[in-house]
Amino acid sequence: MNDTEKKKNLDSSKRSSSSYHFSETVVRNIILLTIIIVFSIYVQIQNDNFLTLNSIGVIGLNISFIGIAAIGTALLMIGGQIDLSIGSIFAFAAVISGLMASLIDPQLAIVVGVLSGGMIGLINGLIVWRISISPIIVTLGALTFVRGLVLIITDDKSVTGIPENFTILGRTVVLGLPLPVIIFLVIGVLAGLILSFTRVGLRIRAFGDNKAGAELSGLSGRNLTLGLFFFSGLVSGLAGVLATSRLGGASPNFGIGFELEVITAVVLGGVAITGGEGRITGVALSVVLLGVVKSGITALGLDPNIGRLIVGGALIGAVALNQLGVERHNRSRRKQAMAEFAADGGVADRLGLTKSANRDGD
Amino acid sequence: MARSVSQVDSISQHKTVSPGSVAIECEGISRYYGSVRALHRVSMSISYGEIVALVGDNGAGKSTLVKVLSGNVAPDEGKIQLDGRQYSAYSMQDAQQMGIETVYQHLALCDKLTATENIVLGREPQLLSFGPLSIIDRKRARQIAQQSIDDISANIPNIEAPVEKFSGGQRQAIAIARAVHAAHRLIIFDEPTAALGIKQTLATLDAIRRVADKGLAVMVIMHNLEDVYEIAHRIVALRLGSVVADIVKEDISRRDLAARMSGYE
Repeated sequence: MNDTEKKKNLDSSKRSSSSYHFSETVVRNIILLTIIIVFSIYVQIQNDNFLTLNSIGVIGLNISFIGIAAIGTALLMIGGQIDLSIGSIFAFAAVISGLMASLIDPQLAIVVGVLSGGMIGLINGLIVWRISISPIIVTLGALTFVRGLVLIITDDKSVTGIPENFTILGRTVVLGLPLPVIIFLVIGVLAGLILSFTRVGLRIRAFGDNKAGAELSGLSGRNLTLGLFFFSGLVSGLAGVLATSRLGGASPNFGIGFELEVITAVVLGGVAITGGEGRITGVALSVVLLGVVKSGITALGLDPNIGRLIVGGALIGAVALNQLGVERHNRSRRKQAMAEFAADGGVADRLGLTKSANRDGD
Repeated sequence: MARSVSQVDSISQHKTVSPGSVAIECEGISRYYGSVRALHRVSMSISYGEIVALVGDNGAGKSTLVKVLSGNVAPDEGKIQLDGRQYSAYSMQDAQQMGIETVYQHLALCDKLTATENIVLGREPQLLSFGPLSIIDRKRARQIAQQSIDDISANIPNIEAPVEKFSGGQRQAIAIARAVHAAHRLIIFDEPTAALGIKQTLATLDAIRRVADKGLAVMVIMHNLEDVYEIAHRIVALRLGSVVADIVKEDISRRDLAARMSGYE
């Protein structure tokens, strides 16, 4: 292989690696957006009530609960952690706020409900950090534990008798948008800005990418990990409070399967399950996609259980695509390394046969 | 009296150094892992602008000495002297505060972050300060990254690209640039050329020389004696945890050095 060919190889593999990285996020978002638009148009053709303002408002409201929790989960997963107990946190905050609103004070109920979610998240984070157990195991335990608490507190009965003024939060409409949708958008925008432009955002990505490396840079992961778990619990709690406020009641069965939908949306939106990578835009788009598909199934008169198939399938598909992307990238890296090796003189250099010549040349 | 970790004083990031003056000195450092003696009464020093190669066979204690100097491990005996002050031990954060940085063999870079982000990580310049939510001054960060890369004359075509895109040599250069940005006393290189090809090795050795030219003290752990003789001013050889040679490279042949390292004299 002559020098020109070596250089060509090197340039080609570098271009290949570069284009892969450039295109991944943009292509993913374009695909998500295209599916949303095409599917919505298809459903609208079949059912002309689908894309009415009222229907869009309902879809927006439905996705806002998952979307709010998905923002917290996205940051947590980008930071290299995961919380599988968010469905139970959602239910806990929902019933606690419902009970407090009906028995004590609606305003206090909102604060306590949201903070209870944050506290459960914080406890999860403390256990994960202090005992160094896999977050999957810790939060899987918390999923069952907290659900047990919810069932005990409510005696397995729905919370009713919630005062009207507690429902304002979930039922207020501002400029045609339900307040939970606005809260979702505001949290999403803030999270996106924090992730891209702030010191903590950079450190979240660094720890998710290479925890040991970030620590060798002199950073401490303790507060970051605890903060991420707290925030994830807090927004899951907020989603639960908003759901109770919207519905005017809470059920101990709230949030069953919630974590699956949230994690599906997050992974589908491009957050790497291994951490360190992901953007809030993709997560928001995938939340919308899942919401539109589920509502579309209903609008088409299909069996609603098909929605479960789609969520489960989407999770498997997203993880598979993610893995295929990683493998493709690794292949590209190997190709680049081989090209560099060849450009560097290859085996002859490695064996020291041309080393002195190279050194003399330099 | 030796100071403990809590007594470490902060040292200005912009202290003036005199080339040739001692940057760090350790005296009688011992470290045991259970009954295994990893270091035994190790004494040595490194001056500003000097490149000291730390050599030795596997298990000689090189990594343990690096861990002691970088604050990862506390010695059981001995003291470390910095600017006339003695310390019995210090943490990694204290070491970094005192201007000691380590470039590890397995690069401690975050692959998905850009070269700029890796270089300023932990010392991000701020546009607006709000604690953890402080806005990063991206323009200043790019300037710092470019300056650090220029300082070692490395060739990084696009500092805003993720580090995973770069070659092994370029990644090593980014790791060195990060240390250059952070350190003001000593940079320790742990096998900096172990995974590199020849041209990348030469570029890395050149970058290390430039680090010393900037006036920083440099310690390099290396197995390849050819590279050692090419880059080091002085060689410290360890065997079974003890110093068996601390000598200017011109005063010892490779054969004699290898003999002292292995014990087959």
